[in-house]
Amino acid sequence: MSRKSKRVEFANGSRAFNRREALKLGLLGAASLAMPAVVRAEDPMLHVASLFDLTGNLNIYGIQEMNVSRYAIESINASGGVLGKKLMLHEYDTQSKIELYSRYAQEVGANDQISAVVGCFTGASREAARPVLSRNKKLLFFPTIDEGGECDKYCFMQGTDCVQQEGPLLDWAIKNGGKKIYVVAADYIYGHVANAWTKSLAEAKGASMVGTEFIPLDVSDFSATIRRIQAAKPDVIMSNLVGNNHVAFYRQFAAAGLNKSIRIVSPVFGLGNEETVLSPAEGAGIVVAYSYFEGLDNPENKAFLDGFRKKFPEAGVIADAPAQVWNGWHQWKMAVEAAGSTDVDKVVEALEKAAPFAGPAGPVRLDPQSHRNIQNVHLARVTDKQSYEIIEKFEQVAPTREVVGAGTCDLTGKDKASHRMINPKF
Amino acid sequence: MTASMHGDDALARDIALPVAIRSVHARNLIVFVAAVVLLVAAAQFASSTMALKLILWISFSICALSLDFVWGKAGIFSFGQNAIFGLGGYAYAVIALNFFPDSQETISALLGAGLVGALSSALLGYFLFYGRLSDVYLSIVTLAVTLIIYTVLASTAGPEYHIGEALLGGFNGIPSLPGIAFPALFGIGGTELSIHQLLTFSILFAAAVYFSLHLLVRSRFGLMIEGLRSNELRMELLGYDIRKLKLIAFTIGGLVAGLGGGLFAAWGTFVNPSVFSLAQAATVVVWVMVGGRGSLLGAFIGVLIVQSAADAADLVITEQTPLLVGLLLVGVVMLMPDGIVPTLTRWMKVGGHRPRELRATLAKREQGTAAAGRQLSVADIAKHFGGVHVLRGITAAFGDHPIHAIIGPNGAGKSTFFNILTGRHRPDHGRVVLNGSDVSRLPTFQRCRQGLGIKMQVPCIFYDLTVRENMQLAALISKDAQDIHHTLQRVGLSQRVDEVARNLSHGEQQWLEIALLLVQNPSVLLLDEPGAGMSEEDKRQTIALIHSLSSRHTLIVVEHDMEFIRALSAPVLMLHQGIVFRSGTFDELVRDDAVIDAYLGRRSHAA
Amino acid sequence: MDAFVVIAVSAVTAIATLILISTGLAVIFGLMRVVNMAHGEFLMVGALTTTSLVLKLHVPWWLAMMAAPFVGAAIGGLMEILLISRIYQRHLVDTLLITFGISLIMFQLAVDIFGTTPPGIETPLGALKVGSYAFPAYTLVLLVSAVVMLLGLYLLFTRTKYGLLARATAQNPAMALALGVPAKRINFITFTLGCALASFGGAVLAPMISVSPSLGQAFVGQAFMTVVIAGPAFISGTLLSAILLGGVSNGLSQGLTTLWGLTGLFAMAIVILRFKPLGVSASWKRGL
Repeated sequence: MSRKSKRVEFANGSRAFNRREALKLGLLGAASLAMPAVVRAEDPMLHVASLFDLTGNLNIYGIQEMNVSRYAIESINASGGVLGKKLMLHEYDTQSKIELYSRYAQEVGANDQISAVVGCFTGASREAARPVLSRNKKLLFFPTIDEGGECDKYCFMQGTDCVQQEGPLLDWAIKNGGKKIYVVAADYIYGHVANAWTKSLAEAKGASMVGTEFIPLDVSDFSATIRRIQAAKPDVIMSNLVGNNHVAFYRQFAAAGLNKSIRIVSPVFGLGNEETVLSPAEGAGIVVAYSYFEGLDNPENKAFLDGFRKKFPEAGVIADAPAQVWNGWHQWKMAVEAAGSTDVDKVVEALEKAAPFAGPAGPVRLDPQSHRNIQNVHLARVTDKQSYEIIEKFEQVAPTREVVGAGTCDLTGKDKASHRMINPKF
Repeated sequence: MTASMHGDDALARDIALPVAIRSVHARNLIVFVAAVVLLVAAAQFASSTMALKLILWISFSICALSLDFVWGKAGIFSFGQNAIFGLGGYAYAVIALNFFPDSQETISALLGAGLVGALSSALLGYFLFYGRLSDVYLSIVTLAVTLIIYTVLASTAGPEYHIGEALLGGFNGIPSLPGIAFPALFGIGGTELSIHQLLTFSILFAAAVYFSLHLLVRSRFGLMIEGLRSNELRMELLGYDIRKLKLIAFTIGGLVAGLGGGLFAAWGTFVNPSVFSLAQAATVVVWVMVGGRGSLLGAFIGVLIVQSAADAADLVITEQTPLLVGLLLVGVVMLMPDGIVPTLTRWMKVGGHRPRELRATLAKREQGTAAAGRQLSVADIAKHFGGVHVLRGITAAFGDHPIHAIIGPNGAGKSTFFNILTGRHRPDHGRVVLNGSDVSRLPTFQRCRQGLGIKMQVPCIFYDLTVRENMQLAALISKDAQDIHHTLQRVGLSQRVDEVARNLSHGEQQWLEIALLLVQNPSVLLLDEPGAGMSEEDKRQTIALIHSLSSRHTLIVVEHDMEFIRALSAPVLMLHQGIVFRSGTFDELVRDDAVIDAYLGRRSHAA
Repeated sequence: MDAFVVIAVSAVTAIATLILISTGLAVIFGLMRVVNMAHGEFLMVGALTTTSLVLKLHVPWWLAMMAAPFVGAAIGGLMEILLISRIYQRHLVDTLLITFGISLIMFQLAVDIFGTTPPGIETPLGALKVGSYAFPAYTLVLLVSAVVMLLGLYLLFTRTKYGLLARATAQNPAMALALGVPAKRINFITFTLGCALASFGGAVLAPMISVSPSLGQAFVGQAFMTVVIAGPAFISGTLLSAILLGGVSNGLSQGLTTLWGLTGLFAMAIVILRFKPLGVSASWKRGL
């Protein structure tokens, strides 16, 4: 039962799965195997898992997400667990390596006890894990923002989608900048699909796209891009740049003096602490849109942060994705209790009928057709102190069911054939 | 093939497999089969977690096997085996996604992966080997190719990048692949294998690949590539087209890597470009390095050790895996550079060189060639390197006498002339004619096939192989192969047949080299300082050997040792400052003042 | 016209960048036939040294950049003495693997010390305007640094005793040893020099890019390609190689898209390798 998944010491020394418990479970497991009787000892715990990158390039995202995962499980256990049982969190460190997502997803898939996973960060890692988990009927809650296209009965997308973010961003941009938009996006599936959304949303709002560029993930020299931007003279830059190398864009943009005259809005900036990597002067003024910011002032967030800081006093700022981990576990808990069992199909049904959960960013409710959440979206601006200042709130923004260029996802529909990944056409 | 077919005792000695060795083969086979059966049995009890890990490691091991083969056995250090592995994975993905919905099987995809691996290796190999790349340059070009493939595949994010039903997906890769499924025949198959079934399949699959490679290594072809690794130059001088040999070996390696990649894709049901990264390229080399590149088994051991260490590292000190793997690597390179398996077998004093037992080729008794068919001549040869004109018009004919000597002081151009004759350099002007055909533009190996035998100054033999294996290599390629045993008798090495060449004395090594030439029945032999480094007694024997050969071959000897030359009683050609300075008998030249001046560096001489 | 100036600046910057990131690798490979797989990590060391000195100790950026090569030299020198010098005689793959192992160690230590997203430094010197375009004035610093680097190396290898001895050892190690050239010392200096050059390159680039422990992995591919294409003449070959690869890549980025630029760089590399597999300078007479 115990497996060689990765262990990390918490700042205060506690662990979700320590040796004593392993021994207990091991003995229990051995005892139950030894009993030839039909009646097996009932497992006193419910098993869940998280797959995050605790080491490697992407660990800044993963460490915080795993922290919140542990915090959520502990908090749920402290208030009585689920269906009267405590939760056991199986942690997997995917080391920023895609093949480990494959492998651990297979392991989880083969593990009869685990029924739900909150995990994955990039779209690539999600695609490595989701088909495997889904085939083995394990629920996957995916916390990061994404571009849409997922249409899987057993997958739940916690993060905001393009429409939920870019809609408010474009509104703000047009009001505060102008109608000429220049898009720079990372050259992989997310970037392309996000751009397709930008185009359709911009046109709907009467803005025009004066330029579009896709930059490969390995590139750090943006001089050609910046020259073209200067030639096109936009009012606003919509940035869907991703990864370490692309942070250089903001640096080179500021070095050319353009940050004084052209606004930047971005649905992805900030996920990787970009505001602290850039200097205060380089980052100030960039506007982002997420559901969650630490600075949100409401009782749920206060309680959430208090508890988190007690458990992880050394941990950094909580961005949107880790906060979605919290939402994911609680939405699952509520659904299991409503369904009265962890049976995956029953839980899915309960999730699709669920009442809203009061999360730290406000109420979160599943949209049954898309398996995405209706949630609050906040616009924030990077201050000259490398922090975020919330400037606008959009209540209960609905996600989209549409997959750009390719149809609609309707997971409650009778047509089971539509319950699969839809490849966006862009 | 029995002795009676040839009616020759010597041949019978060559081909009869001693009973003892035959039983060693049988015993090894039984051990191997038993090991595989045991592994399969044990696999049924593995947990799912363990099974998944093992299947991954088996696919990695097959990749490591391919590098073990091309590098450890054929001597080609390719830094891009992971690229072929990755292409195999992508091939599996594309074929499976296109065919599985209809055929409900993915064996075709797995075999297709191997085929793509072989084809891409063949293409890459063609550019590498026919471009004469080797050593350092080969490794960095193969690495460059890997990085290029990585960049290209990472840029295929749009819907327009697809092969049939399979979207390449750019950086996100291709998800949702079907696992291994056998075709539905006789009521079974048609569904994807379960985890334990896949583990069983992987063990059998890897065993089959390993066994095939093992048989190949022990075959004639295996001997040839071992010769290639041991002494590429000597292979060329025996007449082997080493570019073709390397290409074939590399393609076989590619087939194996492709199959490994297919299994990898089937295991993960997912492929993406990260398999082409620099880190992955280096990891494959690490596996082979740690396991030991001399042994095929080392591939499996290397993967087992390195991957276990990587997993365990994270349990020991969390989050420091790269650090610990790095330290492991540094440690292995510094302390156990041959890798673990060879070092251990050395410590335990098992293993060592196991000569192959090959069926002997049909060999002739020496026939020799008529004197007229043993002519080598050059006309007006000129060669310059940059501004230095080393040879300035040399015309000579060798063949009217059975032995010719070439002498000259330092800087005369002897080495360059020798290299022109052998084909290592092309003349800027002039012709080289061998037995009536112009070979000036032919590469060395083709000149050797046309009857030119070349003996280098430093014995150019296969030091790691036995005397018999050395001779077999020479005989296998030759159209006019002589009887090995008889040839060894002529040079006095018939008692040393099973000795590893490295253990022969210096003189014996020189004679072995001559034997290598003789077994191919050349018409003209070029000997570069055959007496170099020999004792007086050995020199006398060499001179006697040269005389005994002169009845059936033309021999051209380049030498410094004047006593040696005198004893040859042959016409002497003296080169000086790039031209034929004097020619005549030894006594004539020794009495010529101009010759002595040239040697002592006194006064410059015009013509 | 303005656009032309800006494009020209951009192209020259791309070439200068390739020179800065590749020269260290070229020197070590060209003179010692050693492939330093930790080269990327030395770029990283230089960049992180610069940002740390500027942000923590408030050292002026140009001074920090001059200190960076010394840090690289120290680490490289230690590496050479302890490990590399013992395995020169061996097959090239041994040095390749050992430097790869060291690169893993350096990467992880950097992550432990700095984390995966440390703060960076701004581009100093503001912007220069050309008509309606602006570009960072700092690109001129990049350009000047690349020129100084190549010129300095040229002088070092043609006018100093070390330079002469190093080239001799590279061309004919056995002969050089027989003549009494202190090969150990020469190799130590060469390797350390290569690491210092790499650190300097990373340091100069630091204010233009995002500096993190994975910086090495991001740039090593391009550095590698440049050196492979350059061939044995490690100064003039690297220059030509940078011009070809950087020029084509930048031209395509400007004229079409950045994606074309990146694939164009690699396509150009394949074409050159097909016809000149040993590098563009393989048949040149000049050794440098």
